Formats: sequence, C-alpha cells, structure tokens
Amino acid sequence: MGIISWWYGRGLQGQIGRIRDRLTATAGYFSIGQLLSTLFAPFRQISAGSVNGPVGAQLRAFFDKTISRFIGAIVRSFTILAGLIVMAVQVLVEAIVLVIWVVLPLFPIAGLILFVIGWVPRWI
Amino acid sequence: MDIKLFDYKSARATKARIGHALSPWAATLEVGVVLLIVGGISLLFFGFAIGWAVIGLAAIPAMIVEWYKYELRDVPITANGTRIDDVLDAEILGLLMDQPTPQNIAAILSRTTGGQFFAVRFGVSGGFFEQVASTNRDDTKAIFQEALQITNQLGGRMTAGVIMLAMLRKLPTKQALLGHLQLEEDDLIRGIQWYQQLRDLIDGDHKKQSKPGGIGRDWSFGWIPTLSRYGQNISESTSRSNVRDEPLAQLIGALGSGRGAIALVGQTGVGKTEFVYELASRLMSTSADVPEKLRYHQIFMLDATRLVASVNGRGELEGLVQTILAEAYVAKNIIICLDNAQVFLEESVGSVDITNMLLPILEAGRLPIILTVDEQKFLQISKRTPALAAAVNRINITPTNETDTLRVLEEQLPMMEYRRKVTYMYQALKEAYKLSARYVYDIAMPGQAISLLDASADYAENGLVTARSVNQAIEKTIGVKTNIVDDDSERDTLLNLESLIHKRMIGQERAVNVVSDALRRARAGVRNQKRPVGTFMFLGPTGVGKTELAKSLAAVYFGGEQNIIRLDMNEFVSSNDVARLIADGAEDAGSLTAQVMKRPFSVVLLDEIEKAHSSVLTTLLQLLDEGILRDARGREVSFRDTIVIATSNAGADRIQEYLHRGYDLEQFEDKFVDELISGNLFHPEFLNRFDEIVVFAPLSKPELLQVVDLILIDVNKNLNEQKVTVVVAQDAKEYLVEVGYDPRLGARPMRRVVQRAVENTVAKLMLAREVQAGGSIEITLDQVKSMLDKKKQADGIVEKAL
Repeated sequence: MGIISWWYGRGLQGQIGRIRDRLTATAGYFSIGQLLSTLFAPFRQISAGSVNGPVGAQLRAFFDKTISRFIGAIVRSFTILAGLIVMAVQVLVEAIVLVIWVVLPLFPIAGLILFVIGWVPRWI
Repeated sequence: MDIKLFDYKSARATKARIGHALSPWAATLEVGVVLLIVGGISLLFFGFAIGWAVIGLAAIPAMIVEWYKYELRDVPITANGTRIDDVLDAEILGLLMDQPTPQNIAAILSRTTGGQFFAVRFGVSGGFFEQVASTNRDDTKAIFQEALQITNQLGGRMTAGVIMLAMLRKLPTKQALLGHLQLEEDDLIRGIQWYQQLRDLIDGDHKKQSKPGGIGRDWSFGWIPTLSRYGQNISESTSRSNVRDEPLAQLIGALGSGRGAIALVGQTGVGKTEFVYELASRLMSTSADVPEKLRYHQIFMLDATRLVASVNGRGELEGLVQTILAEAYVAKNIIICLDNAQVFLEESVGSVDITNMLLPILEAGRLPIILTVDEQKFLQISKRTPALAAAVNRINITPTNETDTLRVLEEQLPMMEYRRKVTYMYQALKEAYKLSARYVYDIAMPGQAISLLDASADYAENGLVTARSVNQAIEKTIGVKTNIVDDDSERDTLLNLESLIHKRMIGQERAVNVVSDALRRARAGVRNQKRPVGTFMFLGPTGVGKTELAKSLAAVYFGGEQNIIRLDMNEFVSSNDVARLIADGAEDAGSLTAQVMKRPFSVVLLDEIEKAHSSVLTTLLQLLDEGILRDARGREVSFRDTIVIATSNAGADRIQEYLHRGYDLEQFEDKFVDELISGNLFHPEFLNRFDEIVVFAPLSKPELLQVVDLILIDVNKNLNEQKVTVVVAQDAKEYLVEVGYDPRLGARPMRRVVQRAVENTVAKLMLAREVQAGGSIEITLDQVKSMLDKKKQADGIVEKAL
C-alpha cells in the first residue's frame, strides 16, 4: 500500500530530516561551540580596551577586565549547561518520536492483541 | 491521451488526487486522532481493555494526517520528469481528470490559487479561458506540449500560469486578447516567476532562524548603550529587495578588506537606504559570500534628526557622535550608517556640520562607516572638502531599469497592499514605471514608481489598483491626459476640433487642420510617444491668427487659455539666456523647463522665434527631436505631452509680395521656406525638426468680416450685465473692416476699432436713455462713421497701437 511504503521510505527520511533540523536549530540557538571558544572573553567588552597611563590605572583596568572575564565565564558556562540539558532532553524526546514513527503502523495490531488478551495496567 | 505525455494513473497523479480528496478532512482527522487517544486512555482508566484497540485505531488517521501533511498536500515534482504528471503543480494535478479537454483544464485553473493569482494580478482568468477554450480532447495534447516546453525553459514546476500561457499561445485571438489586457507574453512569463517567488518566500519564512548566530552571538562584543539609544539596529528588520547583487558584492568586499568608510552615492529615490538594509540582511545570513569577519555584524543607522534635536549646538553634537562612534569601535561588531550624511556634513536648517570631527575618523578607516549621500550633495561636499571625498570609497547606486524596478515593486507590494488595503494588478506596476519615468521629477527609479503606485491606491476601484488607477493618479495630480481617449465628450471634441477652434478664430484652414490632426493622432495612441504631440512653425505677418490659434487650442482642448506657456523669444537674444530657458524652478519659476514641469499638458508658444539667439535655438533642438530638455539640475523634463508652436514674422514682406504678384499660398510656400534658410534667418536643421511649417496668409475681406462678428460676440458678452444687445448693420461692418485693417498689423487693430466704435455708441445711447435694459441696439453705418469721425481718427488709433 502506498502509505506504508512512503511511511518507511520518504516519510521516515523526512522525519529524520526534521529531527535533525530541530536539533541543529537548538544547537545554533545555544551556539555552544562559540560560547566555548569565547568562554573567558570579557562579557560585552566592558573595560576591554587597553589602557595606557599610570600603574594604578593599568592595575584597575586589569582588575576590571578580570572581573568582566569572570562574569563572562559564569554567564557562558550557565548557558552552555542549560543548552546541554535542553539538547539532552530534546534528543531523548526526538528519539521517542522516531521510535513511535517506526512502530506506529503496528499500533492497530498491537492494540487489537492487547484488547483480545484483555490486559489492563494494574495502576489503572 | 498519449500516456507518454500524461499518465493519469501514475503514482504522483494518484497521490495528488488522494491529497485533494483528503484536504477538506485533514483537520477533522487530526481532531479524531486526539479524541481516539483520549477515549482509549479513558476506557483503560475505567478498566476496559477495548481502550487498547481504540488507541491502536488512532494510529490509522494519525498516519493519514502525517502522509497528507508531508507528502500529499504538495506532492513533490519528479526529478527529470518528462510527463505532465511529473511536473504539474499538485493542486492542479489533483483535480485533473483522465482525457481532459482544454475547457476542462481551464475550469480547473480557476479553482487553484495559481489561477486566482493570475486572475487578480493580470486579469487573465480560468473563467475566460473556459469560454474560449476548445471542447475537443485532441487539442489538449498541443497545450500540454507547449506547457512542457515553457516549464523546461523556465525550470521548476508547471504552475497555473504556465498552463494559462500555453493555452494563450494556442488561441487564434492571442494578440487581440493581450492587446485588450495591455500585456505582452513576457509579462505573463514574469508573472509565472513572480508567483514562484511568492511561494518560495512563504516557504522560506517557515525555515527562518529566530536568532541567527545564537544566543551568545553578541556577548563577546561591546556594550553600546548610547548607540542603542540614538541608533536603529536595522539588522533586526528584514529586507526583501535583492536586485543589486553587483554593488552589494562590491560593498561587502570593501568592508571585508577593512576599507572603513564607504559612501553610497545616488539620486534620491534610487534606494540607497534599502541597499543598506539588503546588506544588513545579507550579513545576518549564512550566505557564503559574506566573509567570516563580517558575519553577524550589525548595522546601526543613526537618526540625525534625533541627534541634532537632543543637543545644544555643534560642540555637544560632536561630543555625542564621538561617544557613539567610540562605542561602535570598541564593540567590534558594529557598522555605522549615516543615512542622508549631508545632514552631518553641511550647515543649514536641521543639519549641523561636523565634518572636522568626522574627517579624521573617516581617514583613519578603522571603524566601518557607510554614508548615504545624494549625488548632487556629494559633488558639493567634495568641492568644499576634497579630503572627505578622498577618505571614502565611493559606490554608485544607479537607478534601476524596467525589469529591476518591476522586481522591486513586486517585492514591495505585500507591504503596500497591507498598508493601503488594496490589491495591485501587474498592469498597474508597468504603468507606474512608464508614467513615473515621464512625469515624476526629483526622484529616481525605483522611488519614482513606488511613489506613484502609492498615490494610485487612492484611485483604486473596488479595492483593485489597475493601470487606469495609475493614469488617474497622474491625471488628477498634474493634469496630463495619459490614457488613450475613452470618453464620449472628449471623442466629440477631438472629432470636431476644427469647428470648435473656428468658433474662436477665422480662416487659416491648413494650420487648424494640421494641429487638429496632431492632437487626434496623439489621443488615439498612434503617435510617436518619444516626441512632443506636435511641433509646428507658424510663419506669416502680424495679426493673421498665429498666436490666436495657439490660444484657441489651449482653450478648446488643453483646459483653458491658462494652459499656454508663452515665451517671447525676443527676451532670449544672447547666448547667456540659455540658462534662463532651463533654470531650476526653485530659482526661476518662469523658466521654460520649470513651467512645463508644473504643466506638462499644455501648448508651448515660442513667439517671434527668429529673434532668439542661435544657442537658444540649438538648445531647443533636443526638445523638438526627442521631447525632452535637461534643466539646470540635469533633470530630464518631458515635453511629450505638449504641442510646441513657434511663430515668426520673418519674411512677412515677402509673403505680401508673393500675394500681390498673384501667387497662391501653396505655390510659394516651399520656395519661401527656402528663402528663409538661404537668408540665414533659420538653419535648415532647426526648421527640419518641426512636424509642419505653415505659412499664414493675410486675411481676406470676407474673413475680416467674420472677425468683426467674433469681436461683436465678445462686445455683447461685455454688455450682458446691462442686458443690452448690439447688432451692427452689414455696411457698418464693412466700414469697420476698411478702417480697422492695416497691412502691417493685420487684424490686430480691428478689435480696438470695433470696441471703440460700438461701445462708445452704446454708452452714449444708454446715457441718453435711448435704450433700456433688455433692449436691442442696431448700429448703423452713420453712427459708426460719426463715432470714428473719419478714417484719420482710426489711423490715429492704429498709430497708437504701433
């Protein structure tokens, strides 16, 4: 039947493609690679410029920059962590979606068998 | 039907039909899936094992819905397909029956979105084709073959537009239909591509990333609080225009190579600002032609008015701009755009000159800055501050051609239609291009066409902006008649133009005929559109009706005598006077170009042309030849809706001489013109530019009697308030002709003589109470004689006139 051949052919390919696109979009949104490569860069370049002048001013600038780097590292680390969690959950969900896609045509038969057996989950 | 051409039972055709059958049920099936799952779970909850069967059953509609959404709704075309069912739009394929007739196909087209697009945008509907298409199945093959050929030529899928074009090409009345719709085949091809672009745009919007570059994209770049306050980040808005690939690549290349300051120079309306939007949009994309160092750079447009308004004086403004530029420099991912940069570079109302502050920054070239400047202003700035011109890389933005302008208009339409709540037809776009190029001054394409199209929305009929709406917009705003005649009263005027003119002037049949013919040709749409409506040289002595004909024409057809632009060419006797002829309207509102810009639909009367300097005549050559004249600012002023009449008294004595020797006008006309050329009064290249050279003969006695009658009509009009009517005896009229006509001045003194004789007589009679309101006075020869006393008295009047 046309629908079954499509389901396990182009349909499945399309589904995998959509899952890949969604995962790519999430990865792009969190831009983990970029955050890692700029992990210790000053956050929003606050006090990022080079300072020429007395030792005291240079020292103050150094501390400002260090604080800015520290803030940047914290913000980025949390974002990376959040991104990793979101992506892990998404991978899990997408895997379930893919499994459901594969087994969905079997659902009517499985449902019929379970109905015939007459099994009902106990917690219900 | 040949199965190699159209296989009704192919997999794709079958899927398209299933998709079409499912389309009304898709939403219902989705609801059904949810209900079955919820129902199944509920049954299980209450201990009924049948719930499993119900949940399992939900998989069937769920699968159908997925199949419909990702396959059947828009069945993809078959790669390298050669049959109709391989490439035909699924929307049409799903409706197509086995062995269709051309009429069946036409009926299907009107039910598809592609067909409706063509019906609305082009006025070409499936319903029309249904009426004219054949009912013979054998004719379908030729249409399909033609459609396949068009698809191969254009690439992509076979949409409703392709089928319509194929059907049109097979119609014997193709040319008549296209003519009626004011379209050409290329327009329909353009429409097919336009429809495809719209579909791609809709598909592209679904795939668009919400935050290109990711959440942390800008975290490593600088903090820009002042810039954010005074500038607009245009990277967050979208640009749809994409017509200037070459200068865009040039701009990206210049920015990528680190050449900091770039000036986009072009006329107003050319799209400099939109071009910067295009750049902003491109930098936010993943396009391969964007260098990595520029990717995700943001463009901030500085609002000059806001900056100038928020500070007191130049010092503060310089300080503020310096802060902004410093922020942008430290941020490292900012490109500054100074839109209308002249506001920062010259001192005038609403602008402050901060050149001295900007120049070192531009010369250093470390901060990418884009300046958009009007062409003329850039020349002025370059002249005043050459260092500034040297510090920037100039990129010229030229006006778009017709194809690109139409593309820009197509891209702008969704926004314009949303804003104005109208729908534009393609014919309106074409007309807007054509007419704005001719009548809209001061801005360039595509701005010209956009502004006219926007104004045309006010003349939409039932929400539809047609070519007629665009015509009306032009006609109402500048008073020019752009459309070919379609109004009964105007048709009558044109057909009876000669008799209408003769109500105001007597004789000169040939001159009246040639100007009437020129006007009829113009309004019937059969004239050369790239020249004035007519160009005429009227030669002849004074007082024979040369100027009067020009006035009559303006009054009868051009909407009143005020629509005559009259230049006494004896005021243009030196070469320096050329400047006055083409002066900018802001400096001299009376210049020829300025007057025609204001009133493009008028009679241009160049009186006593022989007195003008030869440089002035040379300047007029282009006007006579191409119907355009460049003004002092280099703008092309169109004379293509004017009738140009030059008059001259040159050789008037020779005309009299020929007539005295018994020649007819026709006999000596050509010889006379040759004499004017050989006598160096006119150069042959000047005279040859005129459509017709008409020699006016002095008026005959019977004609002069008719002139007296015309003057008496005017006199009676003046006496209308007193409710008195004047009738002059025939012998009295003849006497008036005798004393009022002068060989040197023609009929010119006649009006004064008649008015004096008649009005003075009436005045005396009224004062003596010999005539009452509502009465009629018959003036006899004796009364006229006594009033004018004798001919000497009339001569005195003539002398005064001289």
